[in-house]
Amino acid sequence: MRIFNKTNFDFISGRKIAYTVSGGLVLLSIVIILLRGISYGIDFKGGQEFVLEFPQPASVTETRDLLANALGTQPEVKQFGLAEDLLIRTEAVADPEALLANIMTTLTNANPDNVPVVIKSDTVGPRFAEDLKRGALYAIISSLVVIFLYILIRFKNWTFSAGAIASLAHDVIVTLGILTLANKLLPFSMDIDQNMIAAFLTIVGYSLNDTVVIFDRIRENKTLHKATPFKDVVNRSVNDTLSRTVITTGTTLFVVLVLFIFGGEVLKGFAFALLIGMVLGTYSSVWVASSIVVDLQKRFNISK
Amino acid sequence: MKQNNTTKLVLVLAFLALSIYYLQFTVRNVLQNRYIDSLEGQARIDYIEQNQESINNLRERTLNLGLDLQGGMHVALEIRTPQLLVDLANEGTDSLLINSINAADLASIANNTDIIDEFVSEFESRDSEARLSRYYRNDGLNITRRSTNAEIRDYLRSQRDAAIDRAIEIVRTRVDRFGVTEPSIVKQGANRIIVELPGIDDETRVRNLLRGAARLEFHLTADQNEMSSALNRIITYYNNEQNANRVLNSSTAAPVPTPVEADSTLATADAADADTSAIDSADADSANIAGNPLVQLIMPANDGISLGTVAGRDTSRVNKLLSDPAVRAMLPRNTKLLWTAKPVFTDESRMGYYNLLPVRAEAELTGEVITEARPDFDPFTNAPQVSMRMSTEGARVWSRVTGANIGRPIAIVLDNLVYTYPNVQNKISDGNSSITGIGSLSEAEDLVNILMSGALPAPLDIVEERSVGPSLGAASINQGFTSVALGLAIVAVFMFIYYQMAGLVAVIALMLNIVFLLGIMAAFRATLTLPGIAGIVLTIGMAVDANVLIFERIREELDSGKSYRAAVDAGFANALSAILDSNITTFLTGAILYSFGVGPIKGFAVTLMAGIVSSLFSALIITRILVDTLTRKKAISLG
Repeated sequence: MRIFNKTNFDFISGRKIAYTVSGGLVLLSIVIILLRGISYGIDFKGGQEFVLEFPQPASVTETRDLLANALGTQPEVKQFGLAEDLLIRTEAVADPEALLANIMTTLTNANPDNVPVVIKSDTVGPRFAEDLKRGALYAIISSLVVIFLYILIRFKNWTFSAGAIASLAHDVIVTLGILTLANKLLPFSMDIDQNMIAAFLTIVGYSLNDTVVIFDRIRENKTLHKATPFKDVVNRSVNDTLSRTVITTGTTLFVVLVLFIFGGEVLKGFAFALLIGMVLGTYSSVWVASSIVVDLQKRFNISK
Repeated sequence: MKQNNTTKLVLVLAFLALSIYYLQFTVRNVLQNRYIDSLEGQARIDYIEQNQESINNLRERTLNLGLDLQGGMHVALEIRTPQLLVDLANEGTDSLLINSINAADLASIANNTDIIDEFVSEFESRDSEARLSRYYRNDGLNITRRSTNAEIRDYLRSQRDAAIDRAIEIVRTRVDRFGVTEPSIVKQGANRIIVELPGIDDETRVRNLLRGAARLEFHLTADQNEMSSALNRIITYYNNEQNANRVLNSSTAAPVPTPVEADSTLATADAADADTSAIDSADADSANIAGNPLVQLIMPANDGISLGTVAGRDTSRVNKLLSDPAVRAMLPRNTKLLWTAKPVFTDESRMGYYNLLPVRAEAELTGEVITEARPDFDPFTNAPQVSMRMSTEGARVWSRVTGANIGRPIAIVLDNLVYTYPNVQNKISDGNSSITGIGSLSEAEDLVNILMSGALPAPLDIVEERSVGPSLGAASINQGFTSVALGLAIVAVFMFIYYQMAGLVAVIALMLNIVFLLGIMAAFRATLTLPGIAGIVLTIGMAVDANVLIFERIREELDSGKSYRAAVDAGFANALSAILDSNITTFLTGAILYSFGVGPIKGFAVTLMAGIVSSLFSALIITRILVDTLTRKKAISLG
């Protein structure tokens, strides 16, 4: 069975379309991020998060009102998977223990027949959160630097590095934009926490994987067909590897979808980010990264 | 070619055997636990007793599950360095030193630098002539009056290192005495300790156990008359609305981190405060309009000793009012104010009320003289208490202090919280004393644990805490396994349909791949976390990639008219560089994630990297052997 057989799409001639679409998506994402702001989880902002399990389904709005009254602040209350499980998040306080005691007392008094138990609790101090944030930032920056250098060494041409980094930045920014837009619309948390940073770095890794396979083919075809214009070599290479790109993305998307559906509440946001990022990553590897290489080589007159 | 394949086959079998060897411990451990769970009562206890060694042996070599999968508690503790810098100043402190420490604390947070470096530069910027050797002296380590500031800086660093190492030892002793299976206690950076406690379900007890500094002190209470006139002066001061406004509206950050004795005392009592700072300031605003804030917050105490009684939610605001420099100057010299450890009473809405007790700043006796402590019951009230015995030297001082203060109260203070302040009935000459006012026997046991493990060199603050209940952990394991199994099934079916016989080869390689992946993790004693399982699922999706690259390449070579044999050879050869490059880049991102991530994320990075190594191995070697063999038998097809 074959999905693609000797395709010959003219990606490179149509690269203006890709630039327009990608440029538009990136701009739109930046606008969304600036307007709505990135919603950080407690890992990066500090605070408390408790997951309570009730014997019977509990109302989100009722709980939120009860707690807002008792605590004097507006806590975040969300459903956590099942209707019996609620996630409660507050800003950082001096004494998380007393806060939890207060929450439990309030809920018990309000509804003595439906007394919850704590099944998960996280407390991150504001100072510690700063450190985590810094670590995440360093991780992202250093991964981009390392990738740039590795490609530079392996392909001996900075335009490949630039193409790869540009398409990675595109994947990350647009994924972040979509997460920011969808955060309040979908019933699971898409706040930026440590899991999300792991998701982003995974997206970077896998998008790069596709890009590198295409670049590798460009390198090979360039030596095989010395007389062919570079633009056509690139287009040939993208088509040669298209079948592999689609199949690999397909199998990976299958398993991420499995993770999204069956992986449980903790991994929902993580899997969702991967789903979006991998689709974007495949698209940008095929169409954006190699187009940028073609244009950069033309602009800087590199004929190597 | 044949020779080559034999070598490869041996390699695969050796690797497989090794993986199975490492994984069998895990399988046997699971089976054994299942068996133990099936036993009841005495049979179970006997079995565990008889097989203790083998149980421990297996447990030690089994694949670790992260706290998010087995349930438990993860705590990051940070040593309070400002306090340590004050305590180390054995030649006395002054405002220059205290101000430098406070400024350094804020600067180190803002600039993400070492507080000791900031401290030295803050100190020098305040007075370029002054030398730190004025405060710090240690003849044993050759730190003298002539030591330079740079030498003192190195000395302070080494003292902090020693303090954190000692704190780790103490925390380990406490955890061991508490009895946790397989705790992990490690140092992180210069000033943090990470404690992981699997299977803990009583977080409050553990929390108190970990951060209790165990500074036990016996204080005389302050002079009654002097204290009440001071209180009157302070109340008059706050009758002036401007004073009250200024103090209450000043930023919350300012007075709290002051490591001065009196202030840290007040800061400790913040633990009793359930409110967020947001409500604090909101309420404070309305209080100003109504009149004197101090009078509103403090009720007269009923014991004739305490300064007053304050609701738990108001303690931090009272701290703020009393830590104003002008107010502190009104308090009698050499006294400090301490909160009671437990509420003296609780109102109908379950709000606790605490007494504020004035004591003499200088302790009469400290915990070092305690040689023995045990949990006990008060013979008259049957309430739990901790009975203590003192050294000969301690008993001598205790006898003198009690003899000179008959009829007057002595406060027994642990970590700056007052547990009891009984009146001395008669002279105690046998060195016995006891801490009463303890809630339960288990609390008494924990106190004894803390007292006997030794005092921490400086207080530890909990900066991060995560706990997962066992039920959620079990659910996560199930969800993880379901995802792995389903992911595997879907990919296998797809590969078989798409590549037929060769697809089957890829599926066999994939199965072995999972065995290798887990084997690598077990061999390196890595921890499997929920994000780690996600990493395995991703590996399943990605592991076929190398196979896809090879098969697609072989198809291309076939299309260009090569023979099967030649196409296979060319396919493997030409796909190699793409496979290597793409996997190395992904591996690099995994390594970066590992070095910056913590806990569960590290687990994800580990499975990601292990997955790449094992899938490279299985694609380049196992797939090769199988495809070669099948090609020779002309049994392969690529659909």
